[in-house]
Amino acid sequence: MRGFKLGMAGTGGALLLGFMVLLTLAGLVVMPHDPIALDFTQRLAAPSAAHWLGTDQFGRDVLSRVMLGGRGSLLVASLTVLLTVAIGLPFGALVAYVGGWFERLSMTVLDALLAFPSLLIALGIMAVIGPSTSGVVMALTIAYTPGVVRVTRSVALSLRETGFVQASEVLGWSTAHVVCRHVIPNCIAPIAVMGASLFAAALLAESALSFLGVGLPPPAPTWGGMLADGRPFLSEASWLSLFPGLAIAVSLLGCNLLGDALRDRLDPRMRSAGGST
Amino acid sequence: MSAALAKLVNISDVSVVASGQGRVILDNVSIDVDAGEVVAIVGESGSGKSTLARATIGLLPRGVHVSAGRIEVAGVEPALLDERELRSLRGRTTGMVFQEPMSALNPTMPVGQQLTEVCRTHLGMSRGEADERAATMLERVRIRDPKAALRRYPHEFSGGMRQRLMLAAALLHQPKLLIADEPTTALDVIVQREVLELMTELVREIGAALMLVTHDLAVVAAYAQRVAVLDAGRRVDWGPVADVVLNPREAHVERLLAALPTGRRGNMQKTGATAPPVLEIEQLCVTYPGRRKLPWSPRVDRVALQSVTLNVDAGETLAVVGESGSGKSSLARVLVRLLRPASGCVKFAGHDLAQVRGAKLRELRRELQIVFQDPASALDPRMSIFEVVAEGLAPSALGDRAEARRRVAALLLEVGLEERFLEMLPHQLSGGQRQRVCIARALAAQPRVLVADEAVSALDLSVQSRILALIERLQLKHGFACIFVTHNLAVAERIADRVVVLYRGELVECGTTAEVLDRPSHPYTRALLAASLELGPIAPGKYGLRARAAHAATPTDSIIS
Amino acid sequence: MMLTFILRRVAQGLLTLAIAGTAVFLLIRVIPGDPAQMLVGDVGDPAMVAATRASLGLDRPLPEQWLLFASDLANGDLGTSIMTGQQVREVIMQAFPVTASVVLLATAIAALIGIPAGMWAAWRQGRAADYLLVGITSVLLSVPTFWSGLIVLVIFSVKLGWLPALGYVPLGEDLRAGLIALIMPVGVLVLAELATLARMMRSSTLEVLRLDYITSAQARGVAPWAVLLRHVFRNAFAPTMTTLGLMLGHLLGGVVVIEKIFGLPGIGRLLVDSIVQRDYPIVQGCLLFVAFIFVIVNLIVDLLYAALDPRVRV
Repeated sequence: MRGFKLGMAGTGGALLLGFMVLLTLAGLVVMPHDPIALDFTQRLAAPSAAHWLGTDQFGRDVLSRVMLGGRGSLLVASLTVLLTVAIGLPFGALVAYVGGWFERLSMTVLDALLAFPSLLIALGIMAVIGPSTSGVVMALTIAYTPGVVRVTRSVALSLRETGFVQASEVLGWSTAHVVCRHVIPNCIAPIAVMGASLFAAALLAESALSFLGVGLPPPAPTWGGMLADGRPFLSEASWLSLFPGLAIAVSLLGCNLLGDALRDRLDPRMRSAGGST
Repeated sequence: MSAALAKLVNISDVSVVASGQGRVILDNVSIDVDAGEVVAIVGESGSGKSTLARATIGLLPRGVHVSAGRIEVAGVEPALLDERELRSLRGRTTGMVFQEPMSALNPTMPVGQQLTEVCRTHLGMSRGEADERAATMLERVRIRDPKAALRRYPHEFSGGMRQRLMLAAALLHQPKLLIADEPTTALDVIVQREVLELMTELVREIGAALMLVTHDLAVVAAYAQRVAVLDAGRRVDWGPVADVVLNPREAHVERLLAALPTGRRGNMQKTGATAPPVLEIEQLCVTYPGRRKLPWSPRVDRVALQSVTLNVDAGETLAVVGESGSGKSSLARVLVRLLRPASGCVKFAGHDLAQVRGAKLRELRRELQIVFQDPASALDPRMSIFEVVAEGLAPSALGDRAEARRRVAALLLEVGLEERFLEMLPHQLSGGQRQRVCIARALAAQPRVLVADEAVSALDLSVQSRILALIERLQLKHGFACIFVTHNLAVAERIADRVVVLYRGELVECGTTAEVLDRPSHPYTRALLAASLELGPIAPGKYGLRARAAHAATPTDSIIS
Repeated sequence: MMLTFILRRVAQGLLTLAIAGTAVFLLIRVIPGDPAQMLVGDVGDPAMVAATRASLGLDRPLPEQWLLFASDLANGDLGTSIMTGQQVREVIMQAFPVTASVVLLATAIAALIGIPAGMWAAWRQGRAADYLLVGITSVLLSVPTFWSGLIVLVIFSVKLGWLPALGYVPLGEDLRAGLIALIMPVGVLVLAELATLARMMRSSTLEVLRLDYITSAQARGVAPWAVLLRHVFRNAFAPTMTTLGLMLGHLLGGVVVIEKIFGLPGIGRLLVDSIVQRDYPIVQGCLLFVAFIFVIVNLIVDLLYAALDPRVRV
């Protein structure tokens, strides 16, 4: 990697996202309280020195639960991005390269899948397979892969027309060599930009599913699930809804800022526009 | 004109900087334009010539500003005007034409509205009056059925037509000054000449002055009275064309002139009529699949090449000349098998290229190499120069890295690049250096045929001449045949043994350079020759416009339409 | 010309619908997991599961099921609800106006604010107004609607007591009460959509501003407002409109959480409730309906695009 300058907003985004990831990782080592131990003497306690973010209706420490909840949420989002890219990138390149009826058929089917809001596809799939972590990852992967395939295909199609890919073909290299050496590496930058927004979308969708009660299965808290659990106590314990939501919003903000910075950085048109004669 | 008369444009000691990087684009430049005069501003890319033209009407891009000096147009200083007055100056006194006719017109607005916008805003004309005037103007720039044309959209016109529309739009309000920024660079030779003729004629008619920005010294010599030569933001020379260009006094101008493609390559010695041709092209047709209007309607394919038959001899240089859309690039691509023919065949080393597959094909392909027009996109931005050129070596040669490095360094040296370039990335190189890398990569495969697809068209003249010399030298040493695709007749003449002319997908002329250029038989070739403007040495230290074959016909509408 | 264009788009839309329908059909039947088992519950005995399967028609061979499904669909028959026995089509038709009024109102308001804001920011690129817009939209894009919805609810109905927390009143019944009930859900949606639209409009305006014809218009002395209105708007709005269409299509089925939070009886809530109750015919019907709406909206957008940009009328 060449020296990567992200600018102020981008650095801020990286810091915000990094903070949330660190908070979650720290939870693996130490937590202020046991996140699942019930303590009815401490029901719905407001934020205090003992419980920085207060406690829920079962007296569980909200901060500890936010730390624990991050695990599920961030894990699901990361896995979804990895799987989506791992499937979408090669498939997109393949579609662009094989062309013909295979391309037409694939794109027609993918376009039809894109006719559903991704949250609804995920909801539909969750309805059939029931709540589970792998289920959410699978549902979100199915929902987002068509988009990645679309982007990769269009990038690959334009790369096919570039001189360096054609020069490589003319030099007698096999299609596999050309795709692995030139096409896929040059798709990575635009896909990285997309990855940032996918991560945000997956995090948001997982939280929405959990909020609706069809996401990750109950015992493990997730940020979205905590929001839903806190909802009946909105009037007396607003911190139950405030902090998990804040955790989601901060992660999303970090992700979006980072994604914007990456895009500005990688979009050739954004580079020094001066120099026209 | 007497000095006592006020100049139409007076630019004195102007410097322009880009505020972000503190880069100086123009450094202390002075020129002036008299009423009715044609003044050219000439220079290579990066010389600041467009910036000078734009600064004249205060149209600099954001972040770029005049840091010193004074600009006066028709007695007022654009810098001192408020927004409103500046717009009024642009709408009444000046007009401007841009390089790209394709993007200079708003695609979602009928042509008529764009033309009449100025008259209605600044001259207070009614819609009817403005339409009337626009129609007259369109007729003047030779657009058929002007009334109907006003209601049409830009995409319904060809490039040359659009440039005429731009011209009409810029002159409709009868400005005192027309600024034309590379107005014909994007056009084909014949259209180029027509637009230039039309432009100067119209400017003369309405008594306007013309500020013509160009990189083409021949255009300067043919149309301008005075010229300013810019180099890296500085004014190198300034004065009457006869003193500056035709009898150059500045070293930089002499260098520019020396880089003009001139002269004719001596016909190479035929190695005897018995030597078989290296490439045999028979009845070659290329089509691009068209779109069906509806799933069941027939597909209308676009024909790019129609039954072209041609042989290429070993070691010769064959120039393929034609305008855009003539099929010359399709031909280049078929020869290196980036495209497959619809019918007919390309025979190389006894094989029909379309029929070979697998390992045999990969082996054959290495002997047919291509260099593209745009060297920037021909190099993978993520790969070092070593990796780029090493890709041209045979896969078997890549096992021993030290040996590969040695061979790549040798190849780079052959194209005039030192060893220090090995680890650099493409974006660190200049355009000319990148094109050298592309040539080295092609050379690495030890080709028997090298196709150069407009390989020097995107380069500045001085770089262009060095690349042409490089290709010639390499060809002499390695003996490959070179197929040189170009729109530029002078380049073709300079480098080719034989010339082929393509016109609308058909081969209309084929012969030795002398035969084709001196005794053209097809009307298109004649029109092309008549339209091309070429500048060359006529005596030591003296340059002049070269007249092409006397019997060459003038461009006629019958073949240009 | 225009007629072939329309015909082709309609044909494409029908094809998309057919594939989307098949996808929904396969979703229920092919994805691992057994709807009948889920419906009966974990403890249900095999005979009951089999009976349920038969009643859903899931025991027949797949191609036969598909034919039945397709012919029902072609007749506009979406089946009947397992829970209530109502026609699925009627259930959806009751829910749709609720969703439509929220989404259309929110989109219209968001477009009226977001599009001029985006254009203005692009025009002032790199200055305070631009930074402000980018900053605000970054934050807005990062706030999940199910969170902002809760916050708004706490502030305006719990703490301040200005607005009713729950309850939907059809606009046709009582316009005033209906509108009051819509203030919060629409407001929350507007904030989210506004950010997307303003961002999109800003970037497409920036693209257009770079083009020669804008410089050309300026060189002709056209005033800034006229440049923005006559030259920039049409060209920059066309791509934004595509986004707007996608957004609208998606939102008509995707306002699930908003409907859930504010107790609106719309399509989204119908879908979630049916999922929880395992009412598969309704789940299937809702998904199909959303795809249908999406295709229709996109068809309209394509036609509008052609009206805006003469180059695509081919």
